Amino acid sequence: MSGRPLPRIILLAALMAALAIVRLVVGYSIGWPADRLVLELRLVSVFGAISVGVCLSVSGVMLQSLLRNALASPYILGLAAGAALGVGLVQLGVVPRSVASWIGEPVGAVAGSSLALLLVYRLSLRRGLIDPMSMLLVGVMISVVASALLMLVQFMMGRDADQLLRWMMGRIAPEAPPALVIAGCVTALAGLAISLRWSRALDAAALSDDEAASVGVNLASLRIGMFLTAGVLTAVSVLLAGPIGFVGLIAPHLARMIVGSRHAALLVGAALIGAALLLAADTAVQLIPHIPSIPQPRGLLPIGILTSAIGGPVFIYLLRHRQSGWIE
Amino acid sequence: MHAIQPVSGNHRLAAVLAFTMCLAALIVPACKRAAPAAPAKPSPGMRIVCLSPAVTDLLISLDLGDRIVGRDTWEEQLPDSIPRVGDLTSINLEAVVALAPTDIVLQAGKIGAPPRLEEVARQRGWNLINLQIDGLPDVQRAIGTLVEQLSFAEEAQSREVAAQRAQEFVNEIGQALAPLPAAVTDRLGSIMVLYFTDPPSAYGPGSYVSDILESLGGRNVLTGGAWQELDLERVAASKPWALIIAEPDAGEELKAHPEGALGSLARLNLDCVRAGRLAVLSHPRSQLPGASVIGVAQELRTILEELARKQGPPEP
Amino acid sequence: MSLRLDHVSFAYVHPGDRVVDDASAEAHRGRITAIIGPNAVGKSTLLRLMSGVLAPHRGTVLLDDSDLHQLPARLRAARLAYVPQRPRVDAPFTIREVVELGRYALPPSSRAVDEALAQCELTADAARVFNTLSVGQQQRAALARALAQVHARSDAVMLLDEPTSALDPRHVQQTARVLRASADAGRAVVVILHDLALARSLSDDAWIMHEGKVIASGPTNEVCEPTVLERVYGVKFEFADHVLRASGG
Repeated sequence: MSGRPLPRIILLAALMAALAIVRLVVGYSIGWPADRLVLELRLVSVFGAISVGVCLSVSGVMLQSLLRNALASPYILGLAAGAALGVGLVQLGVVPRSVASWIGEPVGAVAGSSLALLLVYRLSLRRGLIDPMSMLLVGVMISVVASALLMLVQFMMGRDADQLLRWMMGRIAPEAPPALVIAGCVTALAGLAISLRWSRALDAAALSDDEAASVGVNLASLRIGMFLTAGVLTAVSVLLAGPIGFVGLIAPHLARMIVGSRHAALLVGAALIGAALLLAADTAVQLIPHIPSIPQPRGLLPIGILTSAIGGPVFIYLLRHRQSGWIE
Repeated sequence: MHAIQPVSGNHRLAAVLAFTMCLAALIVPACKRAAPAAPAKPSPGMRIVCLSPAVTDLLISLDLGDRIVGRDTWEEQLPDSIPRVGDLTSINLEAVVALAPTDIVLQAGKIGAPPRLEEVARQRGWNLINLQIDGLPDVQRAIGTLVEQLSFAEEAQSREVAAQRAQEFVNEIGQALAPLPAAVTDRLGSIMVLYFTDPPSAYGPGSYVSDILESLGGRNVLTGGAWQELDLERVAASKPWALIIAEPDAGEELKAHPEGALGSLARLNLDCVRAGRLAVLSHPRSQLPGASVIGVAQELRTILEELARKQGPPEP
Repeated sequence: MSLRLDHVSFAYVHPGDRVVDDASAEAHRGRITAIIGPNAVGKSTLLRLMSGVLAPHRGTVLLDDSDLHQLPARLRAARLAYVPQRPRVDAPFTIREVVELGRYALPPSSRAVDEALAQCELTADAARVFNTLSVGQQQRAALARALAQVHARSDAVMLLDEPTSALDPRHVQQTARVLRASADAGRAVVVILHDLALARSLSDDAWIMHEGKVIASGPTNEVCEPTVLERVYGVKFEFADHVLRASGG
């Protein structure tokens, strides 16, 4: 877009801040929490949602640019499935509980997504460069294999698989340790900063490989760097909230419609939209029990169900109208 | 590649507005609603949040059901007014805080309580009790632990009452589990107890129902794990002498005609089914190790006696 | 001197299947060099080797006596601009944004962008989205991008792969003028051409390629001889009214 995206970015930031405040007001009861602990719990949710939203949407933008494919997302490449498998193996008891304790699952998530990342990377190298098409296909295959293994894990866990199944539905957990959420926030912002440093290279990488190389882009290091950053961001988001679908796919598309395709604006816009989407979804989850006239789920609705149920149709709408740009 | 349409500024603005309105549509209607019944002034005495349906069952049996102020997502027995605060996989900590409990009981076993719950419990001085209930022996142990560890809000008298009730309850369990006379058990063959028919899934040794069956003097046809998913061939090959199918809340109709519960197993035309050695275990909580032990044991006892009666006296 | 190929060989898959086989030639500053040859003789591969995108398996490509492939990507970008036959942009960028990408490794310069747009007669269309354009317009935008890249550098090299293949006659002439102006400014311009008449009228030098080898190089009017062309294309050539024509096999 040739206009100035800054006012729109400010608008998006204001929207995100407003949603954060709404989430602080909405919980088990509605109103500003008098109890400090309750405020802390809601703050953990707010920062959890922002971290996860930023991680997913920034890695979504990177992967879509990297793969020249608007359908790419952290999930397509098998990173989320790898992380989920890692958590599943920890829960199955492959890692002794004494070692695992509460850091077991985070470690499993990061190990799983890193392994998926390593496999995708190794198997899609062609002549020293990552071949986007191979990468996409390898990613889909790794996703399928990891999902099958995860089903095996669930089968072997038998009736103990509840926790794993629940985790797979996605959740912004207020009971997450605050230190973990702070670490997630820092990682998300670091990821955004790193991607912004590369934003001009990402712009130029939209050219054909030959042209991009000839204008001076070091494609090999750009791709490795982006891929690693996207992988770490995905692992962090899976760690904080389980696999949450579609945000990494939708946020970049909405951002393209609103702030244009230049990566500097696109990355910031997508991060804000991703955070806003998750804050809105988390607020909606908290609000449902307050609506007396609808059938109530038992407990809080898993947020992953909400994002997928809304994100899927929205994405099909975007796909059919193709206003946002390039969908091959 | 498809042609790419430039999006005009107006369209982008429209997109921003539409996005904002969608969010507003989600939020505004609900904000008008009143908050859910937030607990009024916490009443004095012990306030339990119980994150396990099985332990809730035990607490009710110990006459402590009225002390429960918050329950597990999947708990079914308590009145609707008791709020659900999540389960072990996802605790709504804010809801727990709002209920101002004195005691939190959960069944996390070796996995342990979620770390953040432990931390908040420490901060707030909640008495956190983690039970492990897998098999039959765990049930009696859990009763002892509850009476010992619940805070009873420093009311020594309440603890005494509960301890007395627990003793009675343990005695009742002992009676319910007393072995059947040899005259009955000698006539029984190996029994398969299914908790699911599609796919056929049965209680193996070490499972709660199998433990009860064995303490009554019955024999489980299966060896191996506690929860076993089988297939029709395996069911046929194990040649059960009798089949018992757990159908929680089965009506009199089904109990009178248990063939209706067979599902895919009907195709096997098993000897035991032809001979009428088939029964339905209708206890609503036979899958929930806990206070149901008495009811399940009583129902199983009746079933085994009936099976023995059909069999007639043992052949010499 | 400017850009020199020194016994360059390259194969995509098996080292035996050489697409470029022991090619040696030199493109000079201030001159337009046409690469001529039938389809699939390795012209585009040769151009990619010269752009530094591909590295030769044997031999070297020398830019002012230094090995092109040893130059850091950013330094190379300041000296060498490359325009592929089918430019591609996988994002809804406008023409202006695409042209600005030419300055990626260089200090931003709106003057360079404005002048490049003006030279390619794209100023009025600068706000249009690249992917909505015809292939011919995309070729012109890519040329403008290359011009912005080498703006104000008289020691630069421009490499173009059939830049006129999708253009109407008016824009062929316009592109020819742009290339001539670049050469006149002192740059070396290397361009793959299929149109032999255009090659003869536009280029100063020509390289004839056949089966991966540069079999003849030198001033165009000396190299584009019917005997050489007949060997390469397998059809007869003759002059008619000073225009070289294929006259059948």
